[in-house]
Amino acid sequence: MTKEKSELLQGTLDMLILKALQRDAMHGFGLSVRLREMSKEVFQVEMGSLYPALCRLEAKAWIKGAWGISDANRKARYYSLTAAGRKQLQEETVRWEMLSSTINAMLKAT
Amino acid sequence: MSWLRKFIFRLEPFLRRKRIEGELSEELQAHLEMATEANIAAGMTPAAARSAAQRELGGIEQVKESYRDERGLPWLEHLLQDLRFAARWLRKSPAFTTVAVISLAIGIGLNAAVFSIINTIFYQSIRGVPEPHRVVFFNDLGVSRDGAERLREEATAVAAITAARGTPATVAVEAFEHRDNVALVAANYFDIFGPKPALGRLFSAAERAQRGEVQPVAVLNHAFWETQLGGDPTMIGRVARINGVGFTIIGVAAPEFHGPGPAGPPLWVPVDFAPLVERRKTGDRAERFALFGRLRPGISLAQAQATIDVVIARSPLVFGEKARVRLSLGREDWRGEIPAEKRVEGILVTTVPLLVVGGLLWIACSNVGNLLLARAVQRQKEIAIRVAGGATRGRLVRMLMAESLLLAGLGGVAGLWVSHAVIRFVFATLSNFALFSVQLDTRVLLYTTGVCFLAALLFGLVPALQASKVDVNATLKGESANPLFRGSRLRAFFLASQIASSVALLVVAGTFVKSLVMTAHVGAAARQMDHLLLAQIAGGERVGLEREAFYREVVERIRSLPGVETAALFEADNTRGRFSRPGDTAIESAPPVEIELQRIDNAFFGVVEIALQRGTAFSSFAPAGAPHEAIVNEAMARKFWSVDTTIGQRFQVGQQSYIAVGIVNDRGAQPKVYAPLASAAAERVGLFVRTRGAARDMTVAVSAALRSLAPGANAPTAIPYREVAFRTLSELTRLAVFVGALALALAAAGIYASAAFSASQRTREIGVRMALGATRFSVLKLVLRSGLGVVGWGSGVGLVFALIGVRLLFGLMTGQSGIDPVAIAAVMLFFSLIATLACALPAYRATRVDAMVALRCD
Repeated sequence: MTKEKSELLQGTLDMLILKALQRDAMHGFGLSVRLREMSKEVFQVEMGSLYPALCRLEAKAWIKGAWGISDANRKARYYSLTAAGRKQLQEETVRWEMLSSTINAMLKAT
Repeated sequence: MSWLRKFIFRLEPFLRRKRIEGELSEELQAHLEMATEANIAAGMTPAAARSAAQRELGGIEQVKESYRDERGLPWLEHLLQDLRFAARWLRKSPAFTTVAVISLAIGIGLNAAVFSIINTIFYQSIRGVPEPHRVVFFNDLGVSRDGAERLREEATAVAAITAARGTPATVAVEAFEHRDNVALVAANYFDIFGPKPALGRLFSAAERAQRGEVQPVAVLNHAFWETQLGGDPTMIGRVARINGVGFTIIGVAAPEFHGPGPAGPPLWVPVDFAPLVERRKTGDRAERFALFGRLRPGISLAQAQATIDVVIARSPLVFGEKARVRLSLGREDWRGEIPAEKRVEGILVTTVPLLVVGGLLWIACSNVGNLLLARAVQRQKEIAIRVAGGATRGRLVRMLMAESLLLAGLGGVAGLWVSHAVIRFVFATLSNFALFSVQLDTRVLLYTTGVCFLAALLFGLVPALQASKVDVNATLKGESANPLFRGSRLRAFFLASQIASSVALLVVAGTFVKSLVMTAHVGAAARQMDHLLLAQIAGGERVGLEREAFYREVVERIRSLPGVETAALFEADNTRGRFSRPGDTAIESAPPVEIELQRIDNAFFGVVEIALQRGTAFSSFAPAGAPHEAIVNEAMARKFWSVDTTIGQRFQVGQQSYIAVGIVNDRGAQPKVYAPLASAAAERVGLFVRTRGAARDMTVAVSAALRSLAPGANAPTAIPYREVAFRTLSELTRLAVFVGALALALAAAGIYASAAFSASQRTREIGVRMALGATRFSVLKLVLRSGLGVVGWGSGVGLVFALIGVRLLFGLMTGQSGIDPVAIAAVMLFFSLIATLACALPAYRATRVDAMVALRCD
């Protein structure tokens, strides 16, 4: 991804991660798989974007990370949404919908 | 609060770096392995699976890199990294580092020393007392004993007031004997200032009233006790003899306390015992007390000022009509009414040393800057690689500046040590200030740190900017740009400025030397001093007639020595007394006119070859009760009467009446009175000896004679008068020569280093020239020409600055222009010689290199 694009998508990526974690806690790999699934293979998130994003979200206390054991008996770090994170997700979803509908309307107009 | 949480979040990995990084590595590793497993499950071979996973997810190191930007404090980490690298780099080139650090230590250290001294004199608050900001100083006001009492009583609501004054005395404790100012202080002095005793106790007002103490007591200054008495704890109870009178030592003051001024007296004595100390002098001098106090709780400075102004205005008889006081808190206020001559002196004393050490610092910085520039050329490849690896120009400059900062820091630390040594040395040689305690306080440390930063900027910024400008391709391919032009203009500038500063300092030093030589060794007055010897003889334990007889024996014995033409006695301490004439209204209204009074015997004028202009010498018989005879100098005659009417005039100095019987022309500008020596009462006398031949030759003989008459540890010795008279000037000159020599050494080192570097860069060119047949001499000429060009420019600029400086300096000090072409020409010649040598040596060494070797080397 070029630098320009990744900046645009930084905030969006954060939002999508929050969404992906909505149902249950996941580790990094699982998260990347989930994101791929949810986007129907469109978004392949590199580690280089994912982990800094996780770091940002953790800094803002929207997600919480804890070490745990994966099903393959491997030590992995699991991330889960906090209450503040859930609220943030709600707000951002609303904002995004308003934004995208506005842009859609503008593009449809002649 | 979220920013705080974010900050802590960023701080954590900075502190727990290893653990966090380890955790991240684990996490990423796990991620990679899970991805690989997924790929294998999808049907790839393990190897393919792994590489597919890695490709997909990006390299671990890059991830770590972008992760680090989110956590941690990148700028701090970079700085630490730079410093660590700089330390390694400095360690790898020990010669360069040593030279640079020494130069910087000298420059920064001298600056710190001068600033410390100025800081102590002008800005030091009173130390060693509780709540120093409540201590109030009474500036510009000296009061009599009555005045002090009056003020203390009437202003007691706003401040508790105490008084102190100094008086010269000989202090003898155990084996130590010294002449100094002893402080006579009011009984409540220590109560008001409030220092704690380090040993024993301090006297207080209550105590003195209660005990009704008759026995004289004294409190020692801590610095005095430590340095001169070895910190001996058994000092309490011992007796100190002040002007021969015994005072019991009852305590030592706290270490930092030395009274209100920057220099402390060796001891404090209650003022009630003043008559004991000043036995002969009561009434002869105008007693002037300085006042200090403590503001009462809740009183502001303004309130105190107002109250005290009223008290003073109410009693013009006691304080004088024009008396004004300015109160200041915590320390003396040096602003205010400083008479015009003193102000000039004040400016000289502060700005000149700062300028001089500033110049030395500049030279040192230029030296280091030049060295850095030279090294930068050698580091081109390394810098090119860094640029190729992705370093921005800003990052490079920051890295190079970190090196400069480290150098400056090292120089600063070493500089503090240098300044400490310099201060000790200065105060060891100037015996008057033996009790100055110049301490390192925060202001000095801040100033030194500031100087370090400034120095780093001065010598580091420009080379850093220069070095980061690199043509990556050309450098990596091995073609260096023409080394001559690579930063050579900058180096030339640094070198020229260095030369300018040292030429300026040298010329000033040279002018000093010349002036000293002229004053001290040329001319009639100077030649006269060739025949004068001076000695000081103490009366010791003898009193009255015995003492008189002793002095007479001494002078007659000396007169009888072969080689001695004549000898005379005079009282060793001149007094100053308030001048008044009969018929003057006896109020201390105007600021008292104080004149100097010296007691001499009749042979005195003969010995120092001052002629009596009018009148007669002292008659040997003075009837009791009659006014004493006095001889005044021309300046005094002109000031108070006229030259014709002076003889027969009566006047008073202090409490003693005199009648003028003669006028001398002693070439002095200030009025002065000469009175007959009353040797019975003189604690110490001076002996002037006029010798037939050179005074120096007679030193041993006279000293031997004196020793035989007054044996003991403190036997008097004779010194040629010239040494005494010009002590200050010769010390100043010595200082100037030292500074000049330092400047010269630094500049020569700089020139040499620069020339050596240029020569090494031109080795190939020189090899080619010599291979083509150039003689050694012509190559030398070529190299010298470019080198000396810079020297010439620098010297020219330096000369201009020097002329301005000398004009100002000497103009302020002596009123002469001070521009001495001979001195200047001599200095310039000397400097050119050194510079040429410094340039020629590397050039010569370059020509000695085998042409083939030169051509082959890179």
